[in-house]
Formats: sequence, structure tokens, C-alpha cells
Amino acid sequence: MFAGIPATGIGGIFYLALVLFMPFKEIWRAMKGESSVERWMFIASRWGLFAIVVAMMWLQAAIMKWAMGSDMSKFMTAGAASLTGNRTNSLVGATFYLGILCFVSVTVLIHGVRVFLAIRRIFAMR
Amino acid sequence: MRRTCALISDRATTGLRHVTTVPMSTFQPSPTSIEPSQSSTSRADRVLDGIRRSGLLVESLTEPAVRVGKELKSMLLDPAPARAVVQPTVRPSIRPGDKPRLMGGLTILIPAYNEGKFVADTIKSVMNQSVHVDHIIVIDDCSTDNTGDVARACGPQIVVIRPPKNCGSKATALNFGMEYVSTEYTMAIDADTTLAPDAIEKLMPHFDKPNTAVVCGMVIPRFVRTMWERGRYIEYLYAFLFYKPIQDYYERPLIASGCFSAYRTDVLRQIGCWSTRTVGEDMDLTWCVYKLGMAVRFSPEAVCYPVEPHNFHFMSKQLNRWCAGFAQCIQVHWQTIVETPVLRSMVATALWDVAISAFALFLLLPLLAIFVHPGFLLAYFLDLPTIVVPVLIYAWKRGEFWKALSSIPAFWCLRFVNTWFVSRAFWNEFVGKRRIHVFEKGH
Repeated sequence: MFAGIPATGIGGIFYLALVLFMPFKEIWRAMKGESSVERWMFIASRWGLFAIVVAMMWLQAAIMKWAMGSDMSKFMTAGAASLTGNRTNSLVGATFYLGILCFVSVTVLIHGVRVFLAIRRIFAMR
Repeated sequence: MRRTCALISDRATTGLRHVTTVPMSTFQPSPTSIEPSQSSTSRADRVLDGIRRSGLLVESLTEPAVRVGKELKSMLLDPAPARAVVQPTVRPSIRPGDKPRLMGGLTILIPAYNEGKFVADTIKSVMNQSVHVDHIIVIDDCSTDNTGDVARACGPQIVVIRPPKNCGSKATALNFGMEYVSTEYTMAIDADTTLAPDAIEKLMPHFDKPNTAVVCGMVIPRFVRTMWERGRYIEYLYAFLFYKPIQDYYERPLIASGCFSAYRTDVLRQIGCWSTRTVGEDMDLTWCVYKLGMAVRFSPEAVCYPVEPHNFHFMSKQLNRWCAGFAQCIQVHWQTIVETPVLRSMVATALWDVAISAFALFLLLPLLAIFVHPGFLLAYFLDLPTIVVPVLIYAWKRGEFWKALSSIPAFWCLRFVNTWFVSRAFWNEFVGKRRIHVFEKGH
């Protein structure tokens, strides 16, 4: 992203996913003879950063759980039950499913447009 | 009364007949700006003879004016011929004490409108670079202050040009300046942006691959004093040290910052230079490069220091322009975005963030906090680790840990402001159809 655009965490998570995917891309590059030690060092540094961020997120979750206490978990269950139909850990479940739904929606939308453009180009060539 | 000369030329490359009226007082005669080598001297003489024979200079000129005309004519009449891509390798200087030169040459364009306060610092930082810069052209966009005088006072090698009337946007001013570029590489720098002494030396080697068309540098605010500057400081640390290197790894930087980027001149001309169809000319240009199938690179070692908005008034102008520019670029380039791997995911993620941020920050979380539980306010800090950890690590590496730590609250305030402006811009551009066309300076 760039400065001036607000982030709600989705962007950050997307970029963390890109970091996770880096080794696979680098293996592909190595097979084509385009890899280098510097690139692997860069990936290692990003993975280190990724580990620290995840550790901090876990710590933050623990602090929030401690701060909200059992009183909060009651509302969490009630508020999200309608979304998931499951009264046990339903906020966690709802967040997870909504996150997946967001990701799938965006991906499907983009690739749908892409396919549409490709088909339109084929028809235009005819 | 200002004397003017009309430079008329037939552009060999484009076939266009180009007429430019330039106030003579804006030119500094600059014997040193012409290369002291034998080949360039003969070229200058050839051009001067051509000018005299053809009578292209419609007024009689004084000797300094002839010298300036000679240089400009050499730029206009002798554009770089089509040739193989030249890598910007640094070649050693011939004379001891001279700075190393870049193969292919580099021209720096500095568009300036009422930048009398900052332009001298910018020019001096360019002159103090560790490598030789062939031409420094300041485009004084009909400033009402002393910008032109300040620029001329910086040295005889500075060429100051002034369009007949105010261009109205940075893109138009840069396009005006492009008429005078004859080098293999062109760099655009904002008039309020200073460069680190080795910035160009670190930036140019990234043109190592023939398909690299643009290289952008790292941006850090020059002043970090007010809440707005502090918020922007954290934004830049996060964007340029966390997002941008990842984007660069996937060879898809989202934007080559307009305040400090270098371009292959031929590619720039092929694209049509800076477009005025959006108010986000740098993003527009970056995505045009992707459309051309060429690459954009990011150099984190090449650092520049722009002056950022110091109060809400200027910050709002800048955010209005940036957010509207983003929305306009999406409208213009949506096909390129969809067809460019990684870029489409980045833009989609950004759009998703934009779409839900206003809803979440301004509506959902306050309602939940009021009607369900105050603990929901903690959700405002859900992504704290993903932002704070990288920022503090990078700030620590730069020796600015405490400055960054004390600036983080300002970033959270700026996030609310950003959310408001980006939501408004997207509403105006996509729903309200009230497009922004006027380019307003951000400070």
C-alpha cells in the first residue's frame, strides 16, 4: 500500500501472506537460475520479522482476553451466534469464516473480471 | 521588460514542430554546463552555426543568451538517437577531483511553484551528490515568489526555465521540462525534497536490467515536529520499509513516488511522459509502465527527505489529491490492474481496506462499544503488532527508536483522518461523480 490509505489490518495480513510465499517463489527462481544468496538473506529477514509480528499478535490477544475477562466472552458468544449458529467460541469462528469469505470474494471477483476480459478479447479477435 | 527568444525546432523523433517562448531573464548562461570534452564542444559549435544560419533565433541575442540558446538547441535538435539500452554504470572521471559520471547521462527536473523557501536546499543537495549530474533543470511554474531567483543564485550550471503561463499541475510542468531533456535517464525531484549525498549513486544501479524503466527511492520526512508530520513519519517508515520491499521482491511496487524517482527517458517519452488525466500522476505513470510490460524497482538505500504537511490545512489538500488520484488511476487502469499479477491483489486488498475501514472505524466499533461492551474499543488496536513491530525495528536500525515510539499515537490519529478523506474521495469519484481536477499543492 502507500501512505494516505488507511489500513484495517487486512493489508498487513496480506503482506504477511506474501512473506510466507516468498521461499516458494525463490525456489522457482532458483530453478531458473535467477536466485542469489542476497535474495535468500532478504527472505530470511522477512521471515524473522513475520515470526516477531505473530508472536506480538499472540501476546496482544492474550492481553485483550485478560483485559476483557469472562464478561466479554459472554457478549462475544451472543453477538456472533447468529452468524455462525454455534454458541461455542462463535466470535472466533465468525471472524475466521468472515475473513475467509472476504478473501475468497475478492479473489473470485478479480479473477472473474480477468476471465471476462480474456473472453472479450477472444471475441474481439474473431 | 523581459526579452524573449523563440526557439523553433523540428523534433527529429516526433516530427512535431515545437515552439517555445522563454523569458531570457530566466536563463543563466552556463559555460560549465556544456561538457568540456572535444566532442561536445564540436556539437555545440555545430548547433550554434546551425542556429545562426537558419535564423531560428528570431531576436538578436547577447553572447550569454547565444550560449544558453546553444545549449538548449543542442538538447532540442539533437535528441538521443535510438540505440541499445545503456546501463547506468558509473565510469571514472577523466580529471582528478571530478565526480564519477553515469553512462547515458542524467537530467534532473525540479518542478517548482512558490518554493523559494526550500528550492535552494533541494538544488544544493543535488549538486552535492557523489556522482556527476549532467543537467539540473528547475521549472519555475510562474511562481509569485522568488523561486526563480533563488534557483539561479545556486550556480551557473542550474538551468531555470519558465513556461509562458502557470501549468496548473506538476505533471504539466514536468512535461514542459521534458522538452529540454536529452540524456538517457531523467529524474524528477520535488522542489521541497532534499537528497542524501549518495542517493543517486545508490539509485541508478537498479537500472541493471534492460526492462527496468523506473526506480524509486526511500522517503523520510525532513521535519518530524507536528502531529501531522509525526503521523506521516510512521506511515512512511511502515510503507517504505515494510510494504515496499515486499512489493519490490515481487517486482510490483504499487507506486514510484513522484518526489524522487528516476526514469529511462525513452520509455518516459513512449508513455507520453506524465499524464494530466488524473491528479495522481506518479501512480498513473507507474501503472503505465506495467501496462508496457516493463518493471519498476525500489531502492531502499537511496533516501530523500521531503517536507511534509505540517498542519491540517495542507494535509487535507494532499490527502484529497492522493486519495482522488488513487481512485482515478483505478478507473483509468482497471484492465491493466486485473491483468497484472500481484498488482491486482495489492490493489484489491487496498480497495477492501478502503471499503471497510470507514464502516468499521466510524460506525461498527463505536456502536458495538456503546451497545455491547466497551471492550470493543480495543479493536481499534487489533493490527497494532503488524504496524508497530516493523516500524520500531526499522527506526531502531536508523537510530530513531524514541522518535518513532513517540510518534505512534500521531499515526493512529492520522489513520482516522486518512479514513475520512479516502472514503470521501471514493464516494465522490465513483458514486457522486464529482471528480477532482485541480492540482493543489500539499504544503
